[in-house]
Amino acid sequence: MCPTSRNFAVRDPIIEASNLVKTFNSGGPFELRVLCGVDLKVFPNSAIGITGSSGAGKTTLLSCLSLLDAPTSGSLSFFGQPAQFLTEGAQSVLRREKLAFIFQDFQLFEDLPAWLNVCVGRFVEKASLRQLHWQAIETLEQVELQARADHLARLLSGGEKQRLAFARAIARAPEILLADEPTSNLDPDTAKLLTSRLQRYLEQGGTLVAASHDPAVISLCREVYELSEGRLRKATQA
Amino acid sequence: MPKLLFLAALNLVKNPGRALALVLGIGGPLFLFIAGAAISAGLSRDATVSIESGADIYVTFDRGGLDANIPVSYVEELSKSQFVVEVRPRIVARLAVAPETWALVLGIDPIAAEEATGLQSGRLFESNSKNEVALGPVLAQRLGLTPGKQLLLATAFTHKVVTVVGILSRKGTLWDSAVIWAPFAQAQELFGMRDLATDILIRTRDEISATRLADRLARSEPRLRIQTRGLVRRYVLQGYGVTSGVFSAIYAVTFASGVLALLVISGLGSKERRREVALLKALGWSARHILVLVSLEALLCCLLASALSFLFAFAWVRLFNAPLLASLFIAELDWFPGIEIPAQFDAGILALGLGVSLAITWAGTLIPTWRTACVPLRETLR
Repeated sequence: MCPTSRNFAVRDPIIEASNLVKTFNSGGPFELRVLCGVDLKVFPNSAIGITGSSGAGKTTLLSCLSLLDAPTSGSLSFFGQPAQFLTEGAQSVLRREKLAFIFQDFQLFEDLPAWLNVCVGRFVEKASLRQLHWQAIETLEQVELQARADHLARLLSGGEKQRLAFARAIARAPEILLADEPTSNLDPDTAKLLTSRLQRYLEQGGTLVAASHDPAVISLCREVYELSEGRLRKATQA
Repeated sequence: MPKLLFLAALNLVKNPGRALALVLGIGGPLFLFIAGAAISAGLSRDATVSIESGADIYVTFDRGGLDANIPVSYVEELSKSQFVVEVRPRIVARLAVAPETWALVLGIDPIAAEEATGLQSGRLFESNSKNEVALGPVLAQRLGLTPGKQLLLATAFTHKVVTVVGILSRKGTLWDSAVIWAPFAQAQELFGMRDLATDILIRTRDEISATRLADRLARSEPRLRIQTRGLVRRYVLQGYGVTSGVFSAIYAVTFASGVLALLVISGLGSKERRREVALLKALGWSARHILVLVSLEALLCCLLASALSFLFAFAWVRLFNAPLLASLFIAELDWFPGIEIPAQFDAGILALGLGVSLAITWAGTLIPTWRTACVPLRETLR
């Protein structure tokens, strides 16, 4: 796993959200308040599951927690540092070295081969292209996609794309994995494969925040919350 | 950097439509620029050659700071100077030879060296001939004249039917292309310039002699307007500099508008491109890395476009005599000139074209990329 920040104590929360509010079309006629004061602490090596009906704001919450979106108000800190004080460069380092995100809609580079999709995020690192290529192949093996390494992403099936998105996320051995419906639209075997890989990731000391309806994924989580009417409520303790 | 270069090249290969649009968008105007700049440089070089091989001093009368006709009697007077090798009177005037067809009438007696060279067909007239002329190749072609045919020359003073005895070479200087070269006496008669010349050309022993003679003439004859080779060279090259500058400015504005419009239509304005930028950021790329990638893509496109433009421009000018383009620089030419257009292609022009295209393309790509990179990622990825 990636090393944590120097001044950061191991048992401090990696991500801390306090009174997080996210409003779309703020001040407009169709103002939509998706998150209404969400509090959440993500500790190292924890596994948090977030459930809720469609449109409840699970994706929005994960986007805020992964710096893909900015909350309208409230405070958010990563490794003890307030997000508003993170420069653009520091946010990039955080995304590159600590966080990984599995998008519900995959968000792949459709015209690039699978292996390149896995390692393109690491192109700004010092590793050589050859090294990155072999690491990408190894990662694809973990999701049983090595045979499709040279295929363009757009030629893969939905399940294969989901596995590719998963491989891209774990390729950098992130400290925190934020997964948005990682097993939706998958056949049972593939869903089982990805769930087992998530399990392995947790066993290796990773931290997981997953929004999912899949009981198998939720069962991996030690804390489960339900997002309803913009508020997060503890649902059960695994 | 090699990885980013690899990705930039791959992006272009994987998006051939976008790459082609960009290369054509850059290459089209760049082709015009390179061809235009080469013609401009070639004209300037030819003019320099003409000046260098021309007279050392040009003498006219001064009328309020402007050139005025000079009495031919000065020829004898000027010939007496110890600095002088040769003195020739000349008449230069424009004349309409057909509707919307103007010719430059050059009335000067040929010297032996000129009689021997520079003819495409026929022969050169005798100095004492009354009704013989030689024509420039473009004019001869436009009027359908060949040696032996006759041509009516009409001025306010006289009407004269002359016989075309020779056609000047296509490989001659551009200034010969639409010329009617006639004996001096015949030109005098044609323009009613009895005992007058438009100017007198003086060849001196050397440059120092020319300077001394010019100084002496300026002091002793205030009515004379003395123009040395150096002065003519400065005027002519300044004129080309202005023409070239105007062309470059018009080109730059057109190019900038074209490339920016192209980028908006097919480049970074597209939703797909914005999504790629956002996705790279989501994967941990900083805005700086993305700007480097986009710069490299633009660089590759510009390099390719420059190389292709240079080749096409070279072929357009050298093989086809720069149709549609040469007439922008040389007013007397048709859209499809029948003569070899002077042009000078060198690495400097290519480098200049590449530099201009890079500057505009980078400005057109980096600004929208930067703006895209600053938008919340979820908004772009949604």
